[in-house]
Amino acid sequence: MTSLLAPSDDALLRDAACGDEPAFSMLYARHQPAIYRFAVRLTGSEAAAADVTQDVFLALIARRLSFDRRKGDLAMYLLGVARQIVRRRFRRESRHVQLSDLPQPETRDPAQKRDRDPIQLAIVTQHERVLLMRRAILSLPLRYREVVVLCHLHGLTYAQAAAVIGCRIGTVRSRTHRALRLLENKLRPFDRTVPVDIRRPGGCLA
Amino acid sequence: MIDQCSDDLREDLAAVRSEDASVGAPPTVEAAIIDGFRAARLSGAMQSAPRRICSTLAIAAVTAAIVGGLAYGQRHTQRPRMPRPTDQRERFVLLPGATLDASTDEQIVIEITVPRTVLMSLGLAPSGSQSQVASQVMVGQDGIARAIRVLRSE
Repeated sequence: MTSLLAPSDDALLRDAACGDEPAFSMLYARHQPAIYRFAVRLTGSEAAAADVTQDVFLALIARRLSFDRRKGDLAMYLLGVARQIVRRRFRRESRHVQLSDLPQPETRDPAQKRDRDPIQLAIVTQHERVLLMRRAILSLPLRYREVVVLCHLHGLTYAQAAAVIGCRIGTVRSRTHRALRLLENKLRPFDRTVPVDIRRPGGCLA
Repeated sequence: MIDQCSDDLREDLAAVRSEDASVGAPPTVEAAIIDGFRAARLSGAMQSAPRRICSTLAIAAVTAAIVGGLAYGQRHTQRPRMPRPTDQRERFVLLPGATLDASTDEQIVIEITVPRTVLMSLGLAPSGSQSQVASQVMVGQDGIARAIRVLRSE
């Protein structure tokens, strides 16, 4: 029944439903990173993501470790539950956390950057771009944010994302297209000239 | 220009994905969930396989008896309707270590919201999936909580 390599989700669910704690722990370890990352990217808060992750698995326990298999496999189902919980949180919270706008390009000081070590500058700039991208994703409307996170950060197909969201594939495709255009517009002021130059051998930073 | 932007975008998204690869929920979340799992197991929400088979058979037997009883009742006299069993949510559950002495201690009841994990650790299994559940707590004159009951799911 149980594979020698790794037990399937179904086998773990079956064992966990009979009270097998190690099976449930394995199930949790297998799926919590994706749920947590999804929630972090949607909420922008690690504390909120921890709450969402907890609520998702408690909901699974409350359903006696069963789920509607018509909505896909367990991973898709859990992501769908996480999405609903996040949306419910946004609706319930009267005071939303205001996401700060992206920093203005003028605030960057290229002269100060030139004084740094080029390799260090490349690392910092890469990290800055990751931060910028995260903030840009967070600044998207939720319906666009979720498709970007699902399709481009979690690597889901349009069909899988549609199953998580509960909409048509065409809707996911159009939202993703629109979301990427919005991200491009938000990130366009932050050009990549500095990192490109320093990667080039003999690149001039002065 | 759009293609160039798409490449940049793809690269930045890949960088975010790469940095996120090792991110996971903090250990406190797992501890709370395992507590919830144990509480559900203790409250009977989960059963071992043999017990589940036995309970299935028992439910089938009870169902057959009820159906038979109803058929018998319809043929004979109109039987009085049995009162509904008390819902678990309507009963106060004594908190661990608390004693309830109605003759010497005057109690007050306050309404609060309690984290689901706390209720599950007490052996209560509130319906729904909300993290906060409206509950009533019975508090003694000394300010110590004696018992709790779930009101409803928000």
